[in-house]
Order: sequence, then structure tokens, then C-alpha cells
Amino acid sequence: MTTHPSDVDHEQASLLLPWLVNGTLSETERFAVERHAADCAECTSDIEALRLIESAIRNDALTPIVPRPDAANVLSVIGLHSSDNAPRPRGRVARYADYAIAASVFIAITIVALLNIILDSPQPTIFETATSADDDSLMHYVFELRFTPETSIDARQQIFSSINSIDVAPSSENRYTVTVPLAASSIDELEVFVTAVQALPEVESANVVALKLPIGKK
Amino acid sequence: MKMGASRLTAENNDRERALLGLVVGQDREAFSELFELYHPRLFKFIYRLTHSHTISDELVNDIMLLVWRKAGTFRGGSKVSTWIFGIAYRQSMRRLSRDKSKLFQSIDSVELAAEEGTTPEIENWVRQGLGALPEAQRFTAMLVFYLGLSYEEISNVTDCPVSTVKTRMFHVRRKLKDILPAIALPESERAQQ
Repeated sequence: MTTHPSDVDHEQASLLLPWLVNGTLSETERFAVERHAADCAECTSDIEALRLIESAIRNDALTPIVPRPDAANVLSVIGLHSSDNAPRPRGRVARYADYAIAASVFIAITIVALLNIILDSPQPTIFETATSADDDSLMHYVFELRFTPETSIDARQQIFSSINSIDVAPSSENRYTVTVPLAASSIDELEVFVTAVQALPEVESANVVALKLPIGKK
Repeated sequence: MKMGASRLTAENNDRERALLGLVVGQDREAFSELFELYHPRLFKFIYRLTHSHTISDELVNDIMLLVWRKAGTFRGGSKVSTWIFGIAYRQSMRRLSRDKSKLFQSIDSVELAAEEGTTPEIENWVRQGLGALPEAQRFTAMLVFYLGLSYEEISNVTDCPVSTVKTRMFHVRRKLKDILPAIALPESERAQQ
């Protein structure tokens, strides 16, 4: 076998395989690695495995439902620090001002927390789905379901069953991650279901957190 | 087509640089635009790392808050996206180390009704395999295969030498091969099994 100036040994080629697969090697590197792999069974096998891994990662069926970007929420935190560059008063006045700000923030946070508890429901979520489904498709929606602490295990099981959940995983004492197949092909239909679950007296909150693509529909 | 895509990327980067420049001057509208550009990308990326909706949401807000505070430290030596994902890397690593026990709970319990050898089953295995990797290796694998970054870009994002990046991916491959022997086999051998 003749050697080429751009030839790489097995170790060098092996280290570059992930980037051969994701297509970011330079022309020279790609040529050298492909040339080596053509005669190397181990590298050929690794390339095939890496392609499967890349495909599995890129096409992961567990597609998150991305909440609407809420820059205002972050900006509200920034608002507390927007005067960082301005000259600050010194001494006791500054301390009182700091205490007043801290107290205001505490009161505001407490009021928001209380309102959330009283209203017993999060703000309506705006959903962004990555795919569209046929009308007759069952989409697998993943919910975070929180029960009131006094709800019995039996009552919880009955609710899981009544909403046709196919997978239930406890994530904390009263909270569960629940997968439900739904023929909801629109956000409106999904919200009708969520509203109905939230209306159950045993349910403290129900939020859609992810969408799994239906098997065989990809 | 590839040239068109790279020109588009360059134009995006120019726009993002301009926005970041305005953010340095505490321009909230520019920040909101940058936030809307990066929120879905960061969320989907971090969700794949954590599989936690709550943690992903919190982390994205934390990352963007740091973008606002540290915009003045961007020196322009890299793409804006590389700089922002660098912040995402450091924040996520901190959070992943802290909440290790809480993560991937739901993934362990995911049982897709897949038939033998179908793509969803492989996805399930890969997801569980990634979940078993140390955070730095998992993150690097996501940068390679989900974001499609070159090793130089990953070196910038993670602030590690290129040799470390390559070695991490080597370990990822070895571990995934151990965890997922079925997918490590060539298709011809899988068919025989």
C-alpha cells in the first residue's frame, strides 16, 4: 500500500470520526479519515454506530413543548440591577433604601406566590409543537400532574386510569410525570383536555411538558 | 446550497453581534430580540441534556440573564452563538452536578411501545446511554451531534483544549458501545442476531 502525505494513523483517524459523521472536518482531514476508514473494519463499524447515535439524538421522539420566550420575566430581574452603574447614596440612607427595596421585592414575590396558589392554575401556556399530526393520530403528551397532598393512592390510580395514561412515573411526593395518548391535533383540543384535568378537585396542577411523536409516524 | 447556508449564518452572526453591542448599552429591546432568538434553541438543547422541563426553563432564563450582565465581556473572537453556548455549558454543568439525582428519572421510566429494532427503540437506548455518561461527556456528545459543532468550536464553548474534546468523544463512543452493544454492531451483524 502506498502512503499519502495526508495519511493519518488509526488513532488519529479514530479520534476524528465523530466530526466526520457531523460533517465539520476540513476537506484534507475528511479525505485522510475516509481513506483510512476504507481499509479499517473497526473505523467502518464505528462510523455506522456514530451515525445511528447522531440520528437518534437529532430525531429524539421526546420533543419538548417550548414555553413562549418570556424576556419580560428576565428583564424584571434585570430591573433590580439596572442602576448598578449609577452613583449610589452612601451610609444610613443607602442602607434604608436597600432595606426598602428588599422588603418591596419580598412583598411582591409573596403576593405573586399567593395569587398563584389562590388562582390554582399557571398562566395559559402557549404551545409550540414541532410536528403536525394526522387527524387520526394519537400523540403522546407528557404531563406534570400534581395532586393535593390529601389525595389517596387509590384516587390517584383512578385518575391515571380515567385519563388513559400509558406511563406514570412519580417525580416527587405528590407530583407525577404522566404520558397520555391523545387524538389532539390542535392546541385548542389539548387545552380542553388540560382544563378538564385541572378542574378535578384532587388535582392541584396539570401542565403539558413534552410531546412524544407517535411510534411509526416519523 | 451550502454556500447559501453559510452566508445566512454569517448574516445571522452579524445581526447577533449588533444586538449584543446594543445589549452592552443596556438596550432592552435588543435584549428581547436576542432572547427570542436564543430561547427555543437553548431550551431544546438543555431539555435534551436534562429531560426536565422545569430545569430547562430555569436554566435558559439564568443563561440569558448572564448574557445581559456579561455582554460587555464579549470580545468578538468567536461567533455570538459560541459565546452564548459557552455560558450555557458552564451554567448547565453547575446545575447538572447539583441536581444529578433528579435528572433522567422520567427517562428511566419511559417505555415506548416499540417493536424490536425500530428507530424509537434505538432512540430510547441512546437516550438512556447518554443519561449514564458523565456530564461533560454528555454535553460534548450533544454539541457534536445535536448542534453539529466542529471540534474547534466545541473547544471554545467548553474552554478546553481540542485534545480534551477529542478524548471526551472517544470515551463517549467507548461507553455507548458498552452500554448499547446492539447499536455498536454493523447492520449486517445485527440482522444475523
